[in-house]
Amino acid sequence: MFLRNRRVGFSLILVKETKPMDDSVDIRELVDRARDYDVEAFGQLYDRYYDKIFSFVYYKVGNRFEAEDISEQVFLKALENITKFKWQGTPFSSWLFRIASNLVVDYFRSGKYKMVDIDGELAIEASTSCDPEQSTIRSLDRDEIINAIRTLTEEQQQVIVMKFIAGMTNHEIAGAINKSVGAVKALQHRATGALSKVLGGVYCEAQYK
Amino acid sequence: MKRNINDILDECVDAIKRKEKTVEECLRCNEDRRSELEPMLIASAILIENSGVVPDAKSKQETRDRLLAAVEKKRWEAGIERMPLKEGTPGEKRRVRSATRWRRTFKRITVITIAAALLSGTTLAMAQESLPGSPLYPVKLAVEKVRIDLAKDKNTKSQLYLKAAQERISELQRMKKDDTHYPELIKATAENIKAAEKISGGKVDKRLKSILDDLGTTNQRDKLTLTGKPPVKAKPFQGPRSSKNLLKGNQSDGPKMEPFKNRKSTINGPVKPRLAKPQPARPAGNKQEIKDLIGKDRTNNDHKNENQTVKNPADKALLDEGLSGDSQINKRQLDKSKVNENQGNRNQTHPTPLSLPEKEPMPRNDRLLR
Repeated sequence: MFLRNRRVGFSLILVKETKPMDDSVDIRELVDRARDYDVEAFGQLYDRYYDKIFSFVYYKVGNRFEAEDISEQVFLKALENITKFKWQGTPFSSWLFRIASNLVVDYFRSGKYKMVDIDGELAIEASTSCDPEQSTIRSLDRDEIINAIRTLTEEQQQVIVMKFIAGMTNHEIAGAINKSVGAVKALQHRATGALSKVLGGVYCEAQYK
Repeated sequence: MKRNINDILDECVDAIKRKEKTVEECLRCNEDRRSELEPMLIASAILIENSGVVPDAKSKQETRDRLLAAVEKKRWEAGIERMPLKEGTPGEKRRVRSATRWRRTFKRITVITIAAALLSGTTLAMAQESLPGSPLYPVKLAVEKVRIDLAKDKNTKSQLYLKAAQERISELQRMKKDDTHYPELIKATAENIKAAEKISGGKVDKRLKSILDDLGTTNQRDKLTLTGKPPVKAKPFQGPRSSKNLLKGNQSDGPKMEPFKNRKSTINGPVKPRLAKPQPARPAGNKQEIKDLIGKDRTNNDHKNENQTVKNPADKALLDEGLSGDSQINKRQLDKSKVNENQGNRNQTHPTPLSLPEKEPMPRNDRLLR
């Protein structure tokens, strides 16, 4: 059975594989140096986690400029509290995403919520598809996706965005939202089920390159 | 055993993310769960496909620069020694190695503490020599008060109060009598002695107690007498007025009157006569009556012996006021028996002094420094 997309011309584009965010030895070393306010170590941590943080925040707030501002606040807050971070079995990425989640909650509580600027999105969007029509569809779909994600509960949103957008592992997600791995899987199950109803349909499976 | 749908879904999602399998392949592997898995895997695929949100490169770099500048600032605030940044690193600037903040703070505290100790020692030494009116005099009083407050037992406190009283006395000696702080010092001396007496339960040196009494009774006396020194204005006692005639005329008959200088002065200065009880009127010029009335011998030994006081006020009155004319001569002709009766360790070689009528012993009205 072929899966068809309701929109014409939509194709499944291979997503660039993201580097898993684990807490290997090099990450531990970077974090320990960052505790002493090592500029280079902090710069490397920024390079490693900024894109993921930005994606997470973007899909939560739906606005690029706000996402950039909040992402900067995430790292500044991490700088202020880096000395308080302790290796207690929780990955460093989980600690960063927890800060990001709290700042997003504060953002919504402050009433700075704005609608997604679709025109701006189209101008900046780095298209990975050679078909301009497909790029337009993707951006629209992103808007639709963002609205679809907002129909979920807060915990389901956390899991969906961290898992599928930021590319975090179940262990990292569990540390970020303070749940067990089994709970994360359950939330993933319920969230994808709810999204499937919102997004509707089927799509045509694209050709793999 | 049937696998959990959550685990199956998670495995399929991870496989799709890693591009190991497609949605269809995952569904084929789980045909029994196809209907359940299909919508969820499709939604997952859509999400995975749309995860490529790329931040603006320029804004990303600007954010990085600001963040690293903040890290640099934190490093300075923490006082951590910094290594020079590599060339081309944003925010690089010339810097110098500096001591840690805590080292600088420790040095400052040490310098301040030493300076305070030196100044305090000098200040205390200068304050010890200060007099009332000097800016350092309150420091001196404060130090005394602190020492007294820190004293643990009563004896020590009492001694400290007495020491303070002695210090006030020494200040009085160094000050001029017309100084405005003079009366205050005397009052302070009295207060210190009283405090010492109160703490020790009355067991205060007798001498100081006498000082206290004198301070309470009079404050117009010569202040040097506080130390036991004879008053400057004191003159040798020349006895009663008539004693001059006695000394000049009939020294063999009358009692030997020694000059006042051999007699220790009282802190009250020259002895003032006390008001004696009313005596029967003595007719002037009646020698026999005077003779009867005067039944007590007065000799020089009264003045010599400090322990012996004039019991009979009439005797004292006569001594102080002096007798006039013939009555003085009659005094020298006292009955010997009455003399022996009224006196203690008297020199019996003296001629019979005048005898005075016996009266009730009066309380001691003068105090002699011992």
